[in-house]
Formats: sequence, C-alpha cells, structure tokens
Amino acid sequence: MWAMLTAPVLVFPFEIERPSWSVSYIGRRSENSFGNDEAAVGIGVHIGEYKENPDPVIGPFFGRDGFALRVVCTANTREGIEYSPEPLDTLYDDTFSPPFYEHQLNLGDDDGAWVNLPFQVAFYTSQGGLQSQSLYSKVWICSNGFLCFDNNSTSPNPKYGPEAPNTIMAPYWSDLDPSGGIISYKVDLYSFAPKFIVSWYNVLDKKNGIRQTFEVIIRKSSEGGAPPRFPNMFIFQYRDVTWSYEAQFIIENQVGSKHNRGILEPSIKSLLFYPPASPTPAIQSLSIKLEKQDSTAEIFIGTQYWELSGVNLKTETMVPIGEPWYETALKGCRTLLLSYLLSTITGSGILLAIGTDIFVVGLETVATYSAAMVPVSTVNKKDANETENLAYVSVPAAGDDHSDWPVDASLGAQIYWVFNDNNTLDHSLKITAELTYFSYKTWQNETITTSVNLNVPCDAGNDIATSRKVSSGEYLAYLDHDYDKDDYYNISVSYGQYVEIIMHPPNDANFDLYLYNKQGTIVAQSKRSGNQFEDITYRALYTGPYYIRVNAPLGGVRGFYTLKFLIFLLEVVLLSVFGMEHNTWLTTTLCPLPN
Amino acid sequence: MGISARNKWLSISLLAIILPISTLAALKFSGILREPAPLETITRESVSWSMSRPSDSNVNIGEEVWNTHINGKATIRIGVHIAEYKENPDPVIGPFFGRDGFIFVVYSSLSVLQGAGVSMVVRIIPGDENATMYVKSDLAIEGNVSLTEIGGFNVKGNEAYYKAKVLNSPSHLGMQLYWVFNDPNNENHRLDIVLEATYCENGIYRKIVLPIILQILIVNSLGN
Repeated sequence: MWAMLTAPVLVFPFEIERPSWSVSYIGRRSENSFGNDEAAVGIGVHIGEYKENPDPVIGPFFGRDGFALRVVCTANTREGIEYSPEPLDTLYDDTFSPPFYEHQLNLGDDDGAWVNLPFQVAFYTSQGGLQSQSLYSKVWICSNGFLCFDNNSTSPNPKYGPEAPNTIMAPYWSDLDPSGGIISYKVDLYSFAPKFIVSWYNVLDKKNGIRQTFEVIIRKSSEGGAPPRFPNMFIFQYRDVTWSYEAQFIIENQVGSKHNRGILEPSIKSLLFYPPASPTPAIQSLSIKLEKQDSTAEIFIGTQYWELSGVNLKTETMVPIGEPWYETALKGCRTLLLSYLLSTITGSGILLAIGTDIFVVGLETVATYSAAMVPVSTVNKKDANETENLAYVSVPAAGDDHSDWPVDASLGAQIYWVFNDNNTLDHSLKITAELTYFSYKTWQNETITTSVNLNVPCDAGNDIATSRKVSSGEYLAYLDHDYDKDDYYNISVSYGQYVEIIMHPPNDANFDLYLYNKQGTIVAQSKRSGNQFEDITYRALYTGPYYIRVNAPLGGVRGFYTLKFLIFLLEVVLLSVFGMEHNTWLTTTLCPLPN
Repeated sequence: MGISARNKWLSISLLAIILPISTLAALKFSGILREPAPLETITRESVSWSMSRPSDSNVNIGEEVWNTHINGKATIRIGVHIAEYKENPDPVIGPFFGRDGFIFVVYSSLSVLQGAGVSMVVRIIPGDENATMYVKSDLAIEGNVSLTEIGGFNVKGNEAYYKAKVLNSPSHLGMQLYWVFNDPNNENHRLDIVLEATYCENGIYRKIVLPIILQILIVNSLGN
C-alpha cells in the first residue's frame, strides 16, 4: 500500500538571469520544507557555477551552457514519536540508594553541568540507521530538577512549547536549591540492565520549603521486546517528594511540539517511559526529482563519490566523505529544521525560530554533519534528455526491516542543468525532495514532498529594442563590462505613478543606473562613485513604457547585481501609512502633475 | 607364476610417475598445454607538455598532447586534451570545491592488424603530494573495451589508475579527469600519465608503454 499526501506545498521561486559569461562562483541558495504530524522533508539548493561556452570535450556540458547545482534533500520522522508514561506506586529500581558519591556535582543555585553519557541515548529520536548523528552522547544536568540534551538552561520555571529549552527530561522541575543536598550521577554498565542514573538528593524546593529526593534512570536500550531501533527507556523515580504547585514533570521533544507534563499524585513513586506506544514512522527512501519545463535543456545527475552522498541511506561503504561539501546546500533553517512546527512558520517567524535551539542539526554542526555524509551506491537514477521532462535519483533508506529503519536521513547530489539554446530562451526547473516513510497509523507507505523552482530568464537586452519586459519585483542579473556591459528592462507605468528603483552592485564593482523614456531620452540617473547602491525615484509623465538601464562603466568589472523596483501611487502609500482619507492636496502639493 | 606383492607395488609406483609425465608431455606437444607466453615490454620516450599556472578564474585551454607507437602491426596512442583551468571556483561544486586545477580528458587507443588486443591500463602518477586526482567514470567512453577496475583516485598525492579489457580491434577509451591542486598558487606540479597497452601477436605478448608528462609551473619559476 502506498499513498501520496496532497497537503498544500509552498513552492518558492528563485530567479537568476542567465549570465553572459562563465561564473565560477554564484553562491546563492534556495530552500523549502514541508511537514505533517509524522514526518518532515526539506530541500536546499545551492546554485553553484554557470558555464558559458565551455570546452566541447568536457562533459556533461560538452560545449553547451548551464548550471552546476548542489541539491540536498533532508528528512525525519521524529514528529511521529509519542511517549505514553506509565505510573507505578512503587519504586521501579531500588538497587541504588542515594546519595551517590561516585560522581558528585558541585552545583550552585540555578546551575548545571554537561556530563558525558556512558552510552548513546535516543530521546525523541531513534537508534535506527547506520549513522547516529541523532543520538545523544552528553546531557546537561540542571540543579532545578531536569536534564536537557540540546541546551544549558538553568531556568527555575518549568517551560514547554517551542520556547527554549527543549529536548527536556524533567522529573521534578522547580526552583530548587541544592545547598544541603547532593546532586550526583552513577553509571552502571555491568548489571543485567545497564543504566545511567541522576539523583537529586534532599534538595530544597523554594516554592514549598520542602526538601525533595528523586531520580532519573535512563536504561541502555529499549525494553519490553521493542525493536532495537526504538528509543531508550527511562524512568522518573520519586523517593521522597512533596509536590509544590509550581513544580512539574515534563518531557519534551527537540522543537517543543510534543510533550508530556503535569503534577503527580503523592502515591505515585515511579513514572515509566517505555519506547513509544505507537511505533515510530520509518524512513523508506529519499528522492530528488527534477522537472524541467522546456525541451531545450537536459539534466544530468552525477554519480561519482564526490557527487552523490547521504546519511542513513543504503551504501556499500561507511567511509564518510570527510569534507563539508554539502554545508552550503544544507545551511538553512528550512532545510535543517524539518519539523511540522517549522512548516507552519512563515516570514519573520523563521528568524524567531533561528534564535532557538530547535534544529534537528544545529547550524553550528552543519559542517560536521555534511562531512559525515557517505557516498551512496544503491541508486535508482535517471537523467533527462531534451525530450524527457523528468530526471530523478532515489535511494532506499539504510536498514533491512522495521527493527532498524532510520528516523533521520539526507541525500545530496550534484546536478548539471544543461541548456541547448543559444542564449535566446528562458528556462525553469522544479526541484522536488520526496520522502517515503512507513506510517504505523495508516499501515502503509506515505510520501510527502517539498519543492523549489529555479527560473533562468535569458540575458536582458543590450539596448532598448531588445529590453527585457518585467514587472515590479526583485531581479538578480549579471553584467560584465567586457562582454555584456548593459542590461535594459522594459516597464509599463501609468501616468502619475511613481517608479522606485534600487540597484545593488556586486562587491568591488561600480555599476550605474539610468531611466529612459519611450523616446530613448534619459529622464533620471544615479551614478554614485565606488561600490555604492544606486537609486532612482521618478513620477511617470505618460502612460506607457519606460526603460531601466544598468551599466558597467569600468573595464574588468563583472558580477551579479540586484535590481528592485516598485511602481506605486504616492497617495495610496500615504493613505495606507497614515490612514488618511483621500486628500488631493497631497498629490498636488507634494508632487504637482504637469498639464 | 604370480607377481610378488613387492613387484606389484613397484609397478604401481612407476606407473604413478610415468603416466602423469607422459600425459603432460603429450598435452604440451599437442599444443593443448601451453607455456606462459613471453612478455615483451617496449617503453617509448615520454612526451611533455607544460604551461604556467593561469591566474584567471576560468580559462579554456583546449590544447592536446599525444604519444604514439606504430610498428606496422599495431598502433597504440595516448592523447591528453587539456580543456580548462579553474581558479578559486565555487567551494561547494565538486570536485574542485574551491581549489584550483585542470580538467582534461585522456584518450587511449589500440588497433591491432595481426593478433589481438588484450588490455589497456592508464596510470596517473602525481609528481607531488599537493595534488589530488578525481575521475568522472560515469562519462567514460568505451569503444570495444570494458572498464574492469578504477582505483587510487580521490586521495591526495596518490597514484591512480584505470584498467580496461580489450574486446575487439580497434578499441579506444576516453576518461575525464580532474587534477586538483591543494597549494595556494606557490608550487609547481607534475603529472605522469602512462598508457600500458598489451596485445598478443603470434603467441607473444607485447606491452607498449607510452608516457606523457604534464607540468604546471608557477610564474616565478619561469623567471617572470
């Protein structure tokens, strides 16, 4: 059984004008992501180099123009992990009695310490897959009664939800004072059930003035006959606790979207967190699909070891590439965050999200993650020639069955988008990342996708007659004084409308900006010295075409510039800004119209 | 009169020695069992090509260098098409990943009039530790040959090679290679590209070794 989820998918277009000369380094990226309540998929596209008239012998361009792209598809099924705590009115494990002096932590009030774990721990993630970037090897022990795997918070106030800290295991989170008590941990690797125990012994809860004694026990493996890929079992154990009203037990996932919390009855002595009650959705395969929208282009997917790699996918080797070759393609909040939460965040919310530690792979560890990618070998790949619209590469997930399929995976590829026209046609490409996972809710394979669109219009003309017709927006284009020193744009403006134009040149370049009327006469210009932006504000004297010209006046200068322009009526802007009623005085006094 | 047990065992022992020897002799004289054919190696003088290391970001070079062996019975060639030089390319696009270097294609061909082609081996030997060879085998051109092994690529300073079995004559093999420099424009680089083409003529195996040397020299070393 197999089903494709048809949830709305945002498609972000990215446009870059076709350069007139080979560009070794473009360095732009585009990204997108999508998630549901079980899984998430992200895509990051690094627009690398552009080739113009390359050597006819060297493939895959063979003398034709085109782009080299680096595409990364990332995915996880962590949103499908659910814990169902089971209360006991007895202590779960009375083998070790606190206080432990084996590893005592000298913590002050609102204090904490990072401690290395004796074994890797899966918490809201899975042991599955061949690689284990998703497992935790250290934990933050806070004096206020909680463990944290992603953050060194010392907050005395219990928190849950997206706000940091996340990835929390809190048996008794309150404003605790450790003076007079002991916070320690113990490692037991040799008993029948190896475990890691953290104990808060006789610590004072400042909220109710009562000293509390409780523990967290993390078992080395999942229990109860669960498959080995399942998360570790852990237990909250309460030896001598009188709950204050402000205290809470909390467990929370990496993005704060899943949590269990509350206050326990005094009779409850243990809270068991078995591996998730419902099995975690399992990644089955990742694919990158490339759909070209025209018949004058070809797509070639590289298969060399430096062109195709992944994490937790089928491979013949476990030797990682060792280099951060996919870092730029990966390094974006949509590509890395990959949660249901992120997929619902838009606009400035993304910036807010960056400020919190909610990445599956943190921005600071992207290079490490990229270097740990492994060349993939078991590949279902198809290139696209002129008459074929679809190219794809698909790789099955690591693991053989439900016992070791992964919950995190990624696939990276180097893509060649080759143009067969002679710089005369526009091109566009839709790149889709596709995740197929097995859902234990529907008991079938489900597929979710996310896409970005790349648009490459041909070079803007070198004179008014060949100018490129555009509307209000932002354009990324290329000038080279020696081969293409002018770009002309054709805009339609109504009488009385304002045209606001801003052009940012590339680093170390001095480009100029002009506005022409339909007679070809310059009506406005901006020619600042040095590497400064240029801008023009102009009110149209007739309804019809005007022409923007961007010029590279100095020899040896080349690069990408950004052109933004907006056409508007001033009174509409003023009304929207100041909430005024229509006032003809504004238009006639500030900007008198000619007769 | 019966044969004594002692003589019986002696006869069996003699037969055990004589029979295998006579069988081997018969196989050899009949031509079924052949001795290993002799291998004759002919190494030609190397052909060199050099240029000063460019400073521009993208340079189309388009030059070729060839080494050939023709003896009337077989023609063996190796050619290198030096296509492009890259300076400070995109750090994310492979295999240069921001490093300088050259893209070139190595052609090798074997045409045998008498006898049969056996194999072609191309060895790529960097002359210094600061260069890495990459191969794009998914673009290999195989004409009457079948690639059997590719090894040693992607490791800094390592000798790399690829091998092909010759299926028919004439045969040719084209391979796109990347010579990536890890130094910051301050070292000369040398690369030895050697074709070892083997063919069999009248029961004699002949290995023809054709070397080509590429040298990239920094401008200062040329006496700028």
